[in-house]
Amino acid sequence: MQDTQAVRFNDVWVSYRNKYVLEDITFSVGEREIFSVVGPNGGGKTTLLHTLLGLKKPARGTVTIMGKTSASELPPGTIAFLPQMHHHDRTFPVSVSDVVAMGIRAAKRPGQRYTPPDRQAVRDSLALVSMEDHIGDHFGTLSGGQQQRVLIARALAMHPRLLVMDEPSTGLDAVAQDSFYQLLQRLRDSEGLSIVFVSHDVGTVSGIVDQIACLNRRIHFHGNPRDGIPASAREAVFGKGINFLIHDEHCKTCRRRR
Amino acid sequence: MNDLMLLEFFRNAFFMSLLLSLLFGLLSFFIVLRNTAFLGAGIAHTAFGGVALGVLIGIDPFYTSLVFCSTAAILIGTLARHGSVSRDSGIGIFFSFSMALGALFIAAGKSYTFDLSGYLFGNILGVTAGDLYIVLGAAAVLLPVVLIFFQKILYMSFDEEAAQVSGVPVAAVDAFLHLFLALVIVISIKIVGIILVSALVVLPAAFSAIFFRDYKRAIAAAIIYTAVSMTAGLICSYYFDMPAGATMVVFAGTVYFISLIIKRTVSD
Repeated sequence: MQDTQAVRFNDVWVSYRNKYVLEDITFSVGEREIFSVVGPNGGGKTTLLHTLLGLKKPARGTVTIMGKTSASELPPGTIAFLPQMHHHDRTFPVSVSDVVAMGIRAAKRPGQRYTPPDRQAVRDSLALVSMEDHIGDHFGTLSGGQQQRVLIARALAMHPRLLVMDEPSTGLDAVAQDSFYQLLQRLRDSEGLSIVFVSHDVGTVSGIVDQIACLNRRIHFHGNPRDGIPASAREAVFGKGINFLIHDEHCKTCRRRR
Repeated sequence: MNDLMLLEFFRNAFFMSLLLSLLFGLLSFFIVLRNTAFLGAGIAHTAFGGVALGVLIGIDPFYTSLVFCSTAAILIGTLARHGSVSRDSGIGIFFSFSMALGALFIAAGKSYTFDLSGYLFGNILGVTAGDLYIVLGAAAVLLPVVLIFFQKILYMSFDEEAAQVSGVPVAAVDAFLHLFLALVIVISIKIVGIILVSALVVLPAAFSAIFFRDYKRAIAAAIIYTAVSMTAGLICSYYFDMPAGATMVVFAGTVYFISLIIKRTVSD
């Protein structure tokens, strides 16, 4: 475990209409760490992300993010969020470069212009996700996996330190998922990003993440998945009789950090 | 055409149409992209209660309907944001409630001089120089605000949650867009009427989406399309002695359908 922490939840409880949907949530995410929250639908995964981002206030407990008590105290762009892939309206009249520039342009004060360095930042972030050849394409004509990469490039253009994603691999085919997870590892290693994402695909993510948390209202397991997830936690989160097929070292996407 | 311009009501209606095209073209782009097209119909129908109340108590219906529409616009947005009721349900509740109130006010007033069809379908004979000043004022305030915050509104229309995390004040921008819509709808009721105004909220962006994949061009096309439809409808209505609002909407709708067919045929 690293000394510095990107995110820390301490005994956090979150309620909707007087009913707790998250109970006693305590975990931390180190810097340069890939952290995945897995669990069933309705288990509170998205709520946990929203609490992390400050979109939902906890009823009890404290959230610390990059040393601050709220995401809103950090400069814009420090935390990048990719919501669940909604099917963007395919006719939305924006190009790939328009989408990547959205964060940069929206952060400008009135009168500030979109400058050549901004343009360069857009090109650089597209290069990081290997989408530079599509800079002029209409966003709606890209495949789901390509759109996902462009949205990540939009986040990267703001030079974030923490990337938060909700079900990022949904809708991607096996090949696209594979290269997507490789991309996450590359961003962690080359850009020093901390990455938090939720997924219901515990088998695949177990091979690539540094830490995993199994969430079903409470966190039933929290640690390195390669050390093994106890049967009791698997049962509490996914039900009985479930066998995980965890990708191991020999899988080509599972390059551990050196 | 020149002799038409000598008629005061026509001149006012003509310039008002041009200014409204600018406002509707821009607004329509955001409303349709944010998937809130039904909001236009809902807010417009809410005006009915306000109009009837104004007639009943003897206040200019412009002000009473403005109060009704902006209150409904803000409440619908706030309730949807807090998850109390979905946006569509909120719209359905507000607009039927306000129309029912309107029917009661009309019954209570027993006023036979009330031009019901003028409010429902528009009546350009009622357009005054005062109306033109109101739309000028609205454009002078609203257009700069939209231009200054354009990129924030665009980001939010595309991806609201991501925009919020990036520091876009989405609740405030949402409230602004709702109020903007309410104001423009109330202003245009005299020309196109309560029932037809939602066409101007939806059609401009729907039309431009057929042909344009660049947002600047799409907005420009939406504005030009609205301006052509409104002024052509106005002129036709005079020469063929037809109601202006209905002629504008039929014109705009016909252009939309023909464009859709042309696009389909060309791309096949």
